[in-house]
Amino acid sequence: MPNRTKFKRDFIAGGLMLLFGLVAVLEGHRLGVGTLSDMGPGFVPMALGVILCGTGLVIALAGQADPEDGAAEPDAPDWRGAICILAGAVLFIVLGRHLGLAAAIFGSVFTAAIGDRTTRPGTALLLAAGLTLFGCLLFGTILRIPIPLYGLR
Amino acid sequence: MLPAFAELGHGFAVALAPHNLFWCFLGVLIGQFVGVLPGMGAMAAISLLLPLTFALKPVAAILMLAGVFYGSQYGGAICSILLNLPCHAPHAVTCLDGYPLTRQGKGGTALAIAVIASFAGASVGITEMLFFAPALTRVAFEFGPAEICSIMLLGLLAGSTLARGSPVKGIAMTTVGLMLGTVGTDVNTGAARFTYGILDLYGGIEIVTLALGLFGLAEFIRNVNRLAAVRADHINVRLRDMRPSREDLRRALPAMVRGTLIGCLCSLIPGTGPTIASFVSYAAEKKVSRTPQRFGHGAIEGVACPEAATHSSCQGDFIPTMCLGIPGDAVMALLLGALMIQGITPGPHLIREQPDIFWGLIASFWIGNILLLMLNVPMIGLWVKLLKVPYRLLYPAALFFVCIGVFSAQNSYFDVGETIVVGVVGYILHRLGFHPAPILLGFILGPRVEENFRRAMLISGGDIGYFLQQPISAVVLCLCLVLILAQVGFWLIRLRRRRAAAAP
Repeated sequence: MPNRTKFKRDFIAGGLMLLFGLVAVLEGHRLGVGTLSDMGPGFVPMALGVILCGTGLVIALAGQADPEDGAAEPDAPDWRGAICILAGAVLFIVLGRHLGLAAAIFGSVFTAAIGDRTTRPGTALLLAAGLTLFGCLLFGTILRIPIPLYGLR
Repeated sequence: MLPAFAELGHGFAVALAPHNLFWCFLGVLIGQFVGVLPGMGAMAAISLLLPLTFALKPVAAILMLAGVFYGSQYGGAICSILLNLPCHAPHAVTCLDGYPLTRQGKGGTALAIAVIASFAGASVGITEMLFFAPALTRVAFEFGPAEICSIMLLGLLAGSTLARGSPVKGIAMTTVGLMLGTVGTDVNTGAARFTYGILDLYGGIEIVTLALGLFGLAEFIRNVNRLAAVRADHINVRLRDMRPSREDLRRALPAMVRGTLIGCLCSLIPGTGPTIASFVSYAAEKKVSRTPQRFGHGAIEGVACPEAATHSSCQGDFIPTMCLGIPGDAVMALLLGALMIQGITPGPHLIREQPDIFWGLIASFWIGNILLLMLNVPMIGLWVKLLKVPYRLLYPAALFFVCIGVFSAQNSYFDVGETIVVGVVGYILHRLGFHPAPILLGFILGPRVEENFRRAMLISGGDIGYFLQQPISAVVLCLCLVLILAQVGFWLIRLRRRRAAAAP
């Protein structure tokens, strides 16, 4: 029995590469390809786009011909973990810009930490507090990166 | 060969200067530390430390980053032998026999053999670099843009098709990397490419954001709630458990020699890094063994030969990176990127113009390996305790370092946002069966491929056949063709075999 998920996955993978390739071809066309003796800025993007379109087609078609290449199926995404980690990184930007370094570290570490299903809120709080102290000392006071320690902006 | 030794002496003087020695020590220490931690890799460690090196002198920066690289290989062996968790690809093979040994209560012996094999392999790899690098440099001075372009093409093809996973997907990833390398203002015409009106993109994509997005953020998303909590209570290795018996040594020594040789050979072929070396050496060792049935059930040779192969090829990998400026894999690409940030372009002139860097690096390999030997053997108990740090506490801390590392590279919040986007895309690509390492390879080489291609076309007046008229370039292009044809051939054979197996 052919492996349907693998089949579908390669189809999407190939399609994505085709899409990336088309973006590059469009950009190359906009910039002007020129000729081999007088290359325009769009020459390389165009060439890469064409190659990428080709590989995209091969991936999609090869996936059809060879539905089981022995590659292990990656795990399904863990939404809670993924969202918390990404939210933590976004919080670093938002809080760093408006509330300063301490809030940025605390917010990002705490948010990321509760992404794990076994971490209790208390543990996350302790971890965040500890790293905030450490981070403010190291990066704020000693290395002096240009984010104020605290302060509303 | 005598002049090489005079220069090596100079290298030791550079590497032993207190300032450089300190950074080298810090590098191997961090490398060992990160290598031991389950779920963390050398790529993440090197990219995290990259912003820190902006403030250092070039010599200290490269000594430290290289130290992180080979230090993490030592640390990774502990993690894979004791816990069956290969944090780095090359150690996947070490697990096969290392973990059964641990379960038989011989984990200490396996660790000792791994450390000895690593040190022996690394020493031979360094010696190889010492002799081959100057010779290769002399040849490389003759290379024009056509040759450089062809060799880069070979490097990119080998790096993308010989690594893990499907070769076509590897090529696609390399192409994506090359594309990312063109983002920003084109140096030749001043046109803004792929910027879509975003001012922050005019300077191009930062290597730190790309590396930390792909090997930091995307890895966290992959591992969170997936990495099972480590049950390390039963593991307790003390120094006296590590002494190998005479029988173990008798079995392991020839395996080490064979592994080292295979590692040295692999490092000379562009694109075949430590991972391939370790797999090939394990297979070969199993072939020559009189008792192949013991492999997979705790054969000490199965630990000795891949470790020796990994470490000799790790050191040997620096040869094409430093002499031609063409990295063999993503780690080397990252180190090359670090040098370029310092304003140094690796290539044949490096040895002559920056002898401090080249010879200092070689000397520091030896010093670093000796330091690692001292770190590993007496302090093994400490590293084993470190294994018990759970991933759930590790990744939030690592996320904080990623954010602050990316920010401080250019003091830009935009770069942090860029890292988030790269992380998400990197995760999606992984889900679709792509391996992200070739992206970095393409990204680093992209601008130089374009520049040399442009030059070759200027010289030849737009004649694409110029690449075939230059003898060296033609040979290299033939090798590229052989590589592609071999891959297609293997694929067809596999396909037919599977069809045949499925038919009845």
